[in-house]
Amino acid sequence: MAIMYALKSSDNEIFEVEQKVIEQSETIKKMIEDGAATGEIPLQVSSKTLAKVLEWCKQRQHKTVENENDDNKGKRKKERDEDDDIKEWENKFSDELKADKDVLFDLLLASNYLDLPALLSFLCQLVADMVAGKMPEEIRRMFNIENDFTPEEEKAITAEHGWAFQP
Amino acid sequence: MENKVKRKLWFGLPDDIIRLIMNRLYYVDQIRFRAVCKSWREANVDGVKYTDKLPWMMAFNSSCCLLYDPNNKRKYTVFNDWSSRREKFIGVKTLDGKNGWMLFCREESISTTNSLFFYSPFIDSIIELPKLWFDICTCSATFSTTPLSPDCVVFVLRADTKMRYICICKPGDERWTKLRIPGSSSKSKLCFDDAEYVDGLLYCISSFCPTEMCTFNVARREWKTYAYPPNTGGWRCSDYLTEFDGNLFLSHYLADAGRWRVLRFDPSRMDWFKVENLDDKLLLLNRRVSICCPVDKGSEFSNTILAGRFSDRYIYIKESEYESRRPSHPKPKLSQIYDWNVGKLICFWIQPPLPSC
Repeated sequence: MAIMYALKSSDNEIFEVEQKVIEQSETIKKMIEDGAATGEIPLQVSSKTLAKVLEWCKQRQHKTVENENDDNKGKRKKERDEDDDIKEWENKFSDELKADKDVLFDLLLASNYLDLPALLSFLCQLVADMVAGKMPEEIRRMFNIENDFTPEEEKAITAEHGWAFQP
Repeated sequence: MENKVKRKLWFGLPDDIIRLIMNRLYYVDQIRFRAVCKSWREANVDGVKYTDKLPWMMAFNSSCCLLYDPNNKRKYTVFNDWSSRREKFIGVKTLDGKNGWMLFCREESISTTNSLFFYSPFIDSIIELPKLWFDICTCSATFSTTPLSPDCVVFVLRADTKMRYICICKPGDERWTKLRIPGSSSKSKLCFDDAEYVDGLLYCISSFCPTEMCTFNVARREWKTYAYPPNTGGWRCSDYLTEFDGNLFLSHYLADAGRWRVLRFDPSRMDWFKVENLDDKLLLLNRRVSICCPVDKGSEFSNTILAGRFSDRYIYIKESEYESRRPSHPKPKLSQIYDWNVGKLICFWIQPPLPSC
């Protein structure tokens, strides 16, 4: 019988999660090891974001469990199929985040706070892929960021590396 | 109101995450990324690296300067027919390049002095150094780090009929400090072939008369002489020093054996050791600017030595071949390797500066 933990989001929603799933978070793992995780574990993460975090953790957990149960026979083909499945799942996950950048931002902060290196790395790569090849104005529009430079500051910045801002 | 709050969201990205994102961007994308808003610009980017693998190229003459980014296969114009720059670049000679800066020398037409100056095509900026009173063509010169750093020291190595000298200065100094290099023998003194600064020491090699390596401890101003690697392959031509990751490499072509040899200097054992495997690195060897860079495993450029002058065809050797193949072929042109025909422009490898520099 798997050990379950109750996570409480910042908006007071309770999530029942298996220990193995949530232990991917170094922050929570430490709380469990220190015996600080009795009853509900309160987290500074909204329920919407926490649901996404758990979606990621469950997918990762699923993958490791399956690999452990594998015998060598037909493993390679299975691995290839699994890789395709994971790719597909990750693409879907990325597309949802690209469509809702507020969730993407919250998830970035949450993965940092919960110390989930694999998720943090995945999200940073996603943002990097999104900004690659784009001019500052396009990036601002994409993430809804205000241009807070004065015209003089902006002129100085673009003049410093003039070539990089050529269309 | 809601919109206002949302607009603040990405603005408040913590520095840790900004650094993680920047580590996954090419140099050019990092520049644009940091021009988005104030907080992204002011983030502490110490230790951030870019994902560019191959070094860039700088191509110039007296009226234009171009940069070529091989990772994005894009060409950028730094300046083009900009009259105020013209004089600076007439007849310049390249001495060395490092951290996004080139060290150039310009012969003055009316006097016998030489002007040395740094130029960064990435920020189109010039830093002048004091004039030198001798012909620099036969000299070796290098520098320790970016001239924007207070630790930057410039070294010029020179020989006359009697002695060898080192001239040292820092950007902002009014004159050069000239020091005699001790240990002179009665043999004729030729200048060093190449010099490279690694971790507080200036390494200087002369492959001929005398055949030796000298080191200069910059802080203590002390010279030491070391043995040169034994000559195993007959006539040796073109010795190149290259620094990578705090290590010093010596590469030369053994003409009789028809192959390249790469050695690493181990300062703790004070000796040279043969490098059997380039570990997916690319060695770009040139008399003035040599670069060693790690590239993707199994890529077109991994375990490869490219040597020669930029106007020439390149000697192109895969490591699997570098023990056996004479460099008569294949010699792809630079334009094939970098997919860029530079025409009559002067061309050098250049690595972009790190964002914290």
